[in-house]
Amino acid sequence: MKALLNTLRKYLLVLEPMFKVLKQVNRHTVFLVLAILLVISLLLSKNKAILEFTERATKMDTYERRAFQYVQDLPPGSVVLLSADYGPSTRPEAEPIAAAFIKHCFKRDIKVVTMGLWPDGAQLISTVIEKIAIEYGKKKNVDWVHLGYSPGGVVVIKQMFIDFKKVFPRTADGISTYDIPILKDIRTAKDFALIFSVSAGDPGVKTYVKIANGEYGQVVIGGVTAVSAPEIYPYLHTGQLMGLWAGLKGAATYEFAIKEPSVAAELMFPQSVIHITIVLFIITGNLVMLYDKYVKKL
Amino acid sequence: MRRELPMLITLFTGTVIILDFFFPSIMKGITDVLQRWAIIIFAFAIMLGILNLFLIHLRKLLEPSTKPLDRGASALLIISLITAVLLGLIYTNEPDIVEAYTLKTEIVGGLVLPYIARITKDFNPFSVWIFNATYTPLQATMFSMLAFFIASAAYRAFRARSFEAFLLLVAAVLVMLGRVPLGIYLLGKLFPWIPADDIANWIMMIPNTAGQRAILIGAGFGAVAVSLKILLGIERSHLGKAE
Repeated sequence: MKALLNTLRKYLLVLEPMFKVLKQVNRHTVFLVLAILLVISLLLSKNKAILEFTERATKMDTYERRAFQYVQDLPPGSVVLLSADYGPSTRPEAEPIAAAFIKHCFKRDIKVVTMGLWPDGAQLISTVIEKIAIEYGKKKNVDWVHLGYSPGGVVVIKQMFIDFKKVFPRTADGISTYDIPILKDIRTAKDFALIFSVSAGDPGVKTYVKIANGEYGQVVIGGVTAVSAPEIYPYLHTGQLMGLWAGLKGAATYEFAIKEPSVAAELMFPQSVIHITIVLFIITGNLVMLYDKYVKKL
Repeated sequence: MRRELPMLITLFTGTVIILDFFFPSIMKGITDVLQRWAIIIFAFAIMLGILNLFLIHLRKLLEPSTKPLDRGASALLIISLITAVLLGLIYTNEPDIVEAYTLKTEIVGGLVLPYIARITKDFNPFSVWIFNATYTPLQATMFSMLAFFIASAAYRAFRARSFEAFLLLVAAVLVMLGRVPLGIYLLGKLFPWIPADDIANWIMMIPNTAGQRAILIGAGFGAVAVSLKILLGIERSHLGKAE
């Protein structure tokens, strides 16, 4: 046994210089490696072969399929509410989900009303919907309208189910919501065919689930950042949340599902590279620890 | 009375809102009014917050003991705040008439002269510029740096020092790889018997959901207890310090 351990030690000690170098890796080296890989992968992200590979490897999970199918089955002319509850910091993840949802709705002739429980989200979504509406030839106030921000979180949602137009008496452009054709048949938020909340925190999807679904039985679909997805899963199991698009992966899956691969689909490659790099860093760090802990004591 | 009155208001509004949940048809009228008030109070709270921020930094700016760097930061904040508010106020938002002002230039006698032009548009170009060109990139930069810090922290601190830490590490690696196409492909090639995406989904849907549900139920009980303490006046920290 001792001879075997000695032989093993002899072989493993050959690796000592490598582990010495790895132990000296500081955070600046990690930053540099990450930055180089990020730039290279971003440059390659628009490559057709890479996009095709991403599409092959991306498939909808149960809850994504449920969310997609619900919108797919809505009759043309339905009116849906999109709540943009995110900010610039989470924009790269949240915005592609919102954009994919708007495109999906416009493709199916579904009318979209946008608003925000976050002031930043309300500002960001106005640019997104305006751009997509031009692309799809949709008319403002007829096929879509942006209502802006209303402060209050939970209370705003509750009030929307009592009298929607009292919460939003005017659109973001200052036009009375009573004069907007798209809102003609909307008295309360229950009159929307669906509420889609793209959120990065609170108030957001969880607030809509608790109030809109819990108290008023409205169908809610969520789009969340990857980091906030774990806390949303319990509501999917119970059916309180119809479906969920989580993180950039969710956004990419949605883009492929509506056959409009865009920014999220492209960003999946850099994200893949960075995830793998971080995993490699974790494994390397642990190998260094194991080497110090066991091999040196052999 | 300074503490008793807010406590009475808290007790009254809290009880009404709780009763509304159980007897919505009876309480509808009063909760409707209270909730509308809440929206207005929220809006005023934002203004109060801005005013508070302004006063804190004004005090820091005027205090002789403030360090020069901190004084500079406070001055920058006050200038930015006033500029943003003033530019926002230029925007008039009347029903059906939406006017805005924009910065244009004109060449007069070979000189490029700037002037403010009044235009009819549905947005305020100044506010939009502040939002798109300063606020958005600043926030995005702060968040983007997280990836670098996470990678560095993962390399230096994410160690399997115990069995529980090892389990956490394996779960994290499988979820990280199972959520990206290249990870699914590589794991599939290296270990064909491991369906990475299905494992990642299983981790998220079963063990994660069980843990999250436990946290939610625990937090729910905690919230009930704290709410009761606030309603009954046992917990008074929201009223500020006693004098």
